[in-house]
Amino acid sequence: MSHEHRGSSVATYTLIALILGVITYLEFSVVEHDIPWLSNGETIAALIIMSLIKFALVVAFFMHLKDDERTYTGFFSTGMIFALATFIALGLLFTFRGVSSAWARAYSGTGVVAASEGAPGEEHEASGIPEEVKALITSDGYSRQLSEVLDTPRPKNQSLTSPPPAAELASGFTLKPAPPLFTSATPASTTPTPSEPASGATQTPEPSTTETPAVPAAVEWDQALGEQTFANCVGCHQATGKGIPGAFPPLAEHLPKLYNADGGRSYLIKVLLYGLQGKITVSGQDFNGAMPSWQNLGDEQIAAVMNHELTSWGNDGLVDSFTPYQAEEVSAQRDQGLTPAQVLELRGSLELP
Amino acid sequence: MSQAALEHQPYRSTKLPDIKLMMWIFLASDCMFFGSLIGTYLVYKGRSLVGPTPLEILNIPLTTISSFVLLMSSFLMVLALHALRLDNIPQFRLWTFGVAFFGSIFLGFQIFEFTHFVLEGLTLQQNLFGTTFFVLTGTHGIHVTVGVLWLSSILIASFVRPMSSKDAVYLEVAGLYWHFVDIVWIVIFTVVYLVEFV
Repeated sequence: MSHEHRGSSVATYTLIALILGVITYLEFSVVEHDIPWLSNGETIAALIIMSLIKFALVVAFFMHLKDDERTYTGFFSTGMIFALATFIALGLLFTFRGVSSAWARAYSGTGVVAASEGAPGEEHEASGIPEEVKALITSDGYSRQLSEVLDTPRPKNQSLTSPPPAAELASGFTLKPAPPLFTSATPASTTPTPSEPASGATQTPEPSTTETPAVPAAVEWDQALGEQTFANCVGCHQATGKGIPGAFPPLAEHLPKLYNADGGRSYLIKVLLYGLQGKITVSGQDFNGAMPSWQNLGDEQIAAVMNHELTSWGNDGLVDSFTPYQAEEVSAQRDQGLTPAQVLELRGSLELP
Repeated sequence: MSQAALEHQPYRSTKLPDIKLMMWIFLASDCMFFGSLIGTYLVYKGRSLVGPTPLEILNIPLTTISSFVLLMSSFLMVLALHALRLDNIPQFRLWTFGVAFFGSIFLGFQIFEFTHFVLEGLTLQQNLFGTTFFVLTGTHGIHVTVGVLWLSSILIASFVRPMSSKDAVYLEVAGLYWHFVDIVWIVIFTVVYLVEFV
């Protein structure tokens, strides 16, 4: 370690530089010209290996880690390991959420996609997911692999993200008294066995029970699931429901206006299912952005999050006769193939105050 | 350890020059920083609702050239350090200037690319691709800018105050930073640009 010019000579450096240059050219060639005997997966693997070789050469020879004190290598490797762990955790975090809800959607929306009809491969077809949604779901490598792994059917309406029993208990604790009036959105009551009160209530969502408007309505849905699902929205619309001026529109005080309008109740579901894009004006302020489609959330989740938003930030005082959304209502709005721009048109047709 | 460096630096229990150890620790932390940014880019990859998409807008030949320029600047960096260790000051100045110059060319490419993208409608707020792409490559661009400024200041300092092989550790530390910026780009070039076109 004590010699003056440790490790490498100019000749070594030049050789390394040459190799780096050649690898860069190879990378370019592999991408620019389709190599017939390499599949896409193999090409990606080749690209990753080539970049790792470049990475290693620079670190070992140009940064002299090959001949330098081990302490430096130790510190740097620790950083790399942390970075890699973060990288993997981030990927898994997002993938599992996306896949699980996309999966729940595939098996929940259309009730009886009996395993007996058609080959397993056709099940997605039968569940009626539009092509573009499938493309969206499988558009990144992670999801594609995982959705192939997770092809075991799960019971209807039971997503991986449904709240744990403890949360159910907590949310149901204060509101147990009147279960038969409405369908509760807890997984227990939406199991495939169609109980009479449940199917009866879904066909008549009329606001006939207006004697006590806000109180019973506000409690008849899965609040824990609603709050949990709102985690998807909070980044843009904020925990205060006020959005970000100039960037993301507020939900507070705005949703009730949409809800109260003629057709507004189903419009809100469509915004979540199909997204919304283009210029809108909310309380005199213009927003020109895009709301993504949340089609890959489950029906339960969409219903719950809508109920959560319509009963938060003082919104519950502004809606006329609020009836909680039901999963079936959400499911009925699916598969219309609307574009975010069409949803914007729909918004224009609402008569807003 | 180079003798020169040790003469110049106060000893610690690590028996390593503080400045160099600090740089490696900083680089380790920067790994995590870029790891998160690249992870974020990948997580949101293919989830943009509106264009422009990466396939429509990224330019592989152009980026290959700028990647090559950055790689070669790393080569000049080791030459500069080698020259300074041999007390060959004219060569040290030449190669250091070369590094800063090549770094500036890389930045020029990036400025061209960003301007082109914005004119095509890809802004920070346009879609998820715009957001994650500009934050990732922009952060890298800032690193390159800092590196260019750092090396330029060393070059200028060498005219103000004579430099010798005893000062090599200062150039070495700047070099470590520069090579790190280079390896981050090696990863970005593959993950953001090349893989998209397979």
